[in-house]
Amino acid sequence: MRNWFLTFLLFIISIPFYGGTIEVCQKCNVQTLEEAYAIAEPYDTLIIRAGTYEAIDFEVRKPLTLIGDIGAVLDGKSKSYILKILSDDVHVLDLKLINAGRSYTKDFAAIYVSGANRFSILRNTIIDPFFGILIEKSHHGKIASNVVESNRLREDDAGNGVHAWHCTDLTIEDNELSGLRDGIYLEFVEESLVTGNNSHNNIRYGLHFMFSNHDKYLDNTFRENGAGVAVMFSKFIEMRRNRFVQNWGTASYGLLLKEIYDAEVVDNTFEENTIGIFIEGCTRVNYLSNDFRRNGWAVKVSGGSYTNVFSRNNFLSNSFDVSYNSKMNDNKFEGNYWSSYSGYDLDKDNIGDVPYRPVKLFSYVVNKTPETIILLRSLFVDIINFSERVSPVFTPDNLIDNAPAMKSFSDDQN
Amino acid sequence: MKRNWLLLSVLIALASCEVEPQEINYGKDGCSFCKMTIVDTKHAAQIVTTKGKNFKYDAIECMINHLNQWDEVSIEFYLVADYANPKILVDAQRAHFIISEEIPSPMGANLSAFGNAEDLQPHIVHSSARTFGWDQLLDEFKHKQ
Repeated sequence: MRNWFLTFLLFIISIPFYGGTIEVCQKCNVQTLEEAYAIAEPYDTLIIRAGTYEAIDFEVRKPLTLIGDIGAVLDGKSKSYILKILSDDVHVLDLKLINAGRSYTKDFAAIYVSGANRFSILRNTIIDPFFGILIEKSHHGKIASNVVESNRLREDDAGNGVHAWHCTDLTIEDNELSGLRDGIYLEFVEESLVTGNNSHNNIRYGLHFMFSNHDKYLDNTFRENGAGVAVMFSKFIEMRRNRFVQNWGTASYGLLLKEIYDAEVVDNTFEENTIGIFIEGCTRVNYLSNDFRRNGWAVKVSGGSYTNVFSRNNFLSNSFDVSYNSKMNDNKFEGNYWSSYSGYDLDKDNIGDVPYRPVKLFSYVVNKTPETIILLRSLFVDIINFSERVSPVFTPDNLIDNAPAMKSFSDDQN
Repeated sequence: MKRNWLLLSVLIALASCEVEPQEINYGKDGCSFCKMTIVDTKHAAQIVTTKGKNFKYDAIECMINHLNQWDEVSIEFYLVADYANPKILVDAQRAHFIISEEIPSPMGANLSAFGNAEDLQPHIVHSSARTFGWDQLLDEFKHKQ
């Protein structure tokens, strides 16, 4: 809240120093955006009063600030882009954008930013776009507190909410994204921060990284998406304090990690997902202090994952805690809390005296033949799981938590 | 009621034996290679083995990379989405392929397929564009590895 106030104050202060203001309204001297743009000097501010303004491919090629009053609407008439930002130092605030165009072959967006530095897109509302905010080859931008919503649920011709391609140093903060293909999609994006967003009911992912390095995403919520977050082919990604909730479905995950190196997954909550984290080809990733609650699989490790560490996590009432598809294990599971641990603690040091084996034999059977899942709660499966635990033959011998915690880690311990 | 179940299970049993492409359930099915949910109707792909096993892909490059991982497979159908007619899968062995920065594809190879050569023509103008037939394309990906 204070941040907003400061930003607002800065704007108020900066206006007199940075050139004049031009008002646009039905009863003003300037009635259309084109007129206002034509007479505007660089660093001027356009104040758009309540009303609906036609904006088809409206290009901003000089530094400008566009501020919308309550009720200011830009209408794209379903043709193509609405607003195109093609200059440095452009700021767009408090506008409502409707009727952006749709196309199979062109990536039409409500707000399109290309080759721009130092831009900000704040508190805008974008209704039913193809792409919401599409940013290409731009740097030092802030995209905050926008609402992008689409009703294209369960259709595949949706675009992404915030899509960044070949960008550096972006901040994507406190946005509300729903009903899109991906809430946020970062492709070749470096040194960026994604924080405080609420991305839900999207067809594919709440957040999607592809070939992006040195990025962080913190304190976001991903609920009821096709899958929560996918991080693929990326290095040095920090993931902290996010919530992955109810991402259900056959190809659904809370978090999908593929070909990731040197990442941190810390203090996240995975609740009621088909698979909490799906890991394939990931190396040197630390999973610390996460909560896994009531997932189908908490952690599913597929081939080629080495030197990962799982420590101080809570595994609470998951159908499967850890699932593996090979006999090899080079990952470390130590000092986690497992709600299905049935050992004891005679020396009272809060560490179980008997190691815990998180991989059930039955999970191998399910991996091979998914249909067998209907036997999950049967006595027979309990028996084979028990016998495997007593004398392991199929499960990786060294996949053991040697120091299982007796009590779950609560927040104050973390 | 009981007979219905019986009928249904027989039907399922029969259906699963057919060597036929399956419809891709966009937004729900996952890619057999990269695990991504398939949503791009212009770049999806599918193969069906001679035993009737179906593999669906979110991108043509995923299908080819998957093929390269297998030793020997006998495949009945190679199918790729026609860029000009989204959702329609065409025979990959007779399709025309283009790698062009103008058309990004889901897994970063910028690879698209066209059923008709005429539809491909307007895209060739881009400076980075290179076109391929199916066999050339497989070679191209083999050399990359």
